[in-house]
Amino acid sequence: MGSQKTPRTVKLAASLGCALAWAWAAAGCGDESCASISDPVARENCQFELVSALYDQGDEAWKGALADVDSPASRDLIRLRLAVQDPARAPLICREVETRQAQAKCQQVAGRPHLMSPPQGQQP
Amino acid sequence: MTLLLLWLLGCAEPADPRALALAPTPDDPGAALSSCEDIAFADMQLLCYVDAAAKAGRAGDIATAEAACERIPAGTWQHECHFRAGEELARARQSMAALSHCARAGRFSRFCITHAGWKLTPSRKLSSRDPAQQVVAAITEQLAEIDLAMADLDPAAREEAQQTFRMRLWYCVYFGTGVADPAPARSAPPEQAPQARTAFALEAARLDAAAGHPPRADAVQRILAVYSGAVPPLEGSALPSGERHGRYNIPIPVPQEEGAERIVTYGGGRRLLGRDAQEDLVVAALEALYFRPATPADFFLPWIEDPRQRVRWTAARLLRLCQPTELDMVATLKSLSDHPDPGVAWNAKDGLEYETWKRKPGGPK
Repeated sequence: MGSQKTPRTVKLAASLGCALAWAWAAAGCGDESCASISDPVARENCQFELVSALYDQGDEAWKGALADVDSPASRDLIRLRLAVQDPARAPLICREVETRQAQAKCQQVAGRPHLMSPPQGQQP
Repeated sequence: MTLLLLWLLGCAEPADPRALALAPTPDDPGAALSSCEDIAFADMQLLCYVDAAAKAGRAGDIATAEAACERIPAGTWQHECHFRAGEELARARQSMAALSHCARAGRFSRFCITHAGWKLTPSRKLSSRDPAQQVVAAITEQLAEIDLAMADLDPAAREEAQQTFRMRLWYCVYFGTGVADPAPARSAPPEQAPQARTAFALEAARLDAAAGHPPRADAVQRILAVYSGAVPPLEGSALPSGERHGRYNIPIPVPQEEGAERIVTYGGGRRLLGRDAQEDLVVAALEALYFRPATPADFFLPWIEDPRQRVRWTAARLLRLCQPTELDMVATLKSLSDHPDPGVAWNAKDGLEYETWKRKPGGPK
């Protein structure tokens, strides 16, 4: 029993340390640029929000913002999230996906044509 | 000091949230569901739950499919989750659970029912060689069980679902079995009779001419003769279960057919219901001959002058959906555009406008 007590304390301290470290890092996101955000989830969300804010302004606007995102995985994540939110345009969005994993995920939306018809009451 | 060192060693960077969100969902249903919990982005989590429900459905894991869809907020993606779970559970022969999901698939319910219906496995493997009463009893019993599972469906979807399952079960009794004995179809209760006739006609049409060859010119009359008992039941080679398909099309909304009673047929298609059993058998036979991919447009032309309106409309619709052999399709449809029957004329004009005989139908190529 006694031999198990120390490692548990150590593990707890380590976890706490980790959590504090990541929170501290995430808090350092006062910078306007998403790239400077240390917390990876907050960084991806920041990039997604920048692009999706321009989504209704036409392809040129949001695709321009998307091109500024550095990593192909981040760009694909944004494309997929847009496809989930707007399945009607998923085939067009998914056509530009760059990574193999994202292509497979995108098929879950683009490969289901019924998702592209608007719900009743939303038809023009 | 020791604590600091351990803290430094133990403090690994968390997994890349992008990699978790983009990773393929594991095939194991339990692992799939728990992998979704690790995804940090709510929209990507939706996709993961839908995939987990589908994988659980495929494995026949009813509880995990249910749990996955429950985790999605009400709306389109929850409907999609029930749709995927429904179609995969049907494939895994969990028909009742499949139907329960289809009933909750919202605006996708009908698609789900069509997919689930055509994946339904009959409770007993029967063909028209078996005693007619035995066939009818087995189908009626299974339909009653299915009906209970559809209690949550709205009335319109329920009616369509009942038709789909009736059609499916009768289809399994006849199509591809290698025997077209009319006895079970003739014993079907009134609500199952149109589907029973359709299924009989499908197999009779298949067996009456060699695969890949056009039907005989008198194929409809021959199907009628077999049905009436004037000619013995047709027999031939059975089709492997994976090849029991045919040519079909999505329903065409013909304005003149509005209000006319129709039934659901193979793959979500529709056919007109004849005004009486004899007329209905002719309509079923024409549709069955279209189901054979080798039947050309030419075959349907004489039926456009039939005295019965629904026979004419069926023939006109099928003619403009088939490739011709000798018929000049454009000239024929141009001429039929002036036909005194507005239903025939509409089909001809619409066929010409969209060149529907060039369209790729569903089913084997």
